[in-house]
Amino acid sequence: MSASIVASRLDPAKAGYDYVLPAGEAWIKAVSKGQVFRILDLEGNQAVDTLFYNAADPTERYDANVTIRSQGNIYLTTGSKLMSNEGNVLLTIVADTCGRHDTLGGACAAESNSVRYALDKRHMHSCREQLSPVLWPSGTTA
Amino acid sequence: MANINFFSKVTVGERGEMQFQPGNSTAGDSVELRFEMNTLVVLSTSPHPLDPNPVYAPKALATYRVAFRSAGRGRLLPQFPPENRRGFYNTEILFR
Repeated sequence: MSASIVASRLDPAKAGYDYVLPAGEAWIKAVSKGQVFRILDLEGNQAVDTLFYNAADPTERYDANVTIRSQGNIYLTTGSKLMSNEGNVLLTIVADTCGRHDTLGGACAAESNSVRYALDKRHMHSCREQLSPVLWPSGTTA
Repeated sequence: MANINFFSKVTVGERGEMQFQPGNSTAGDSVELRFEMNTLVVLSTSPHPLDPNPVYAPKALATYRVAFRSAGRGRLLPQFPPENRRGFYNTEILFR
């Protein structure tokens, strides 16, 4: 599968939902089967840490290993079927004007920042700590 | 599952395509692991998921626990990249 540039024909002016996610914040919302969801890189060179879960059963989640093995390719682009740990297709990339997306590097965390930068950077901002409040609101557990 | 498939080789081409390379290891090949932490090890043998062989043919393996303490790490340390060295430091303070 080579990089596959496909522009969407859908008009964002007709979207039922439109939201600008400010820098350093996390977002969570259910999307229904059949809906199309667009992620727009407003300033360029973004790394949008993204997770997907079965809305009815969050023990079923996006699985990078299953996804790249199923398509025999490490890059995500138009046509990539994003697979769950149960072997189900959660969603498909139907348009992509960038061409290649990473699913190998993982998300930065307090722990990985302690080796990437230094131990005293452990308390600094990281992707996983940013995602945690929306994934596990206070009073719930992983 | 983000496991390790020891003795298996998968190459990645220019366009990202993954290719399983059959015959990567031969009988008698081994890999040795020195543990920096007390670690639970979990193994099983089964065919690699990208192995094109249509026959399900898991093979036996042997494991050895070599009971001596290696003193090699201090000597090896300088050649590790900075991230690994910081990782070793994080491990060290766990065992102080």
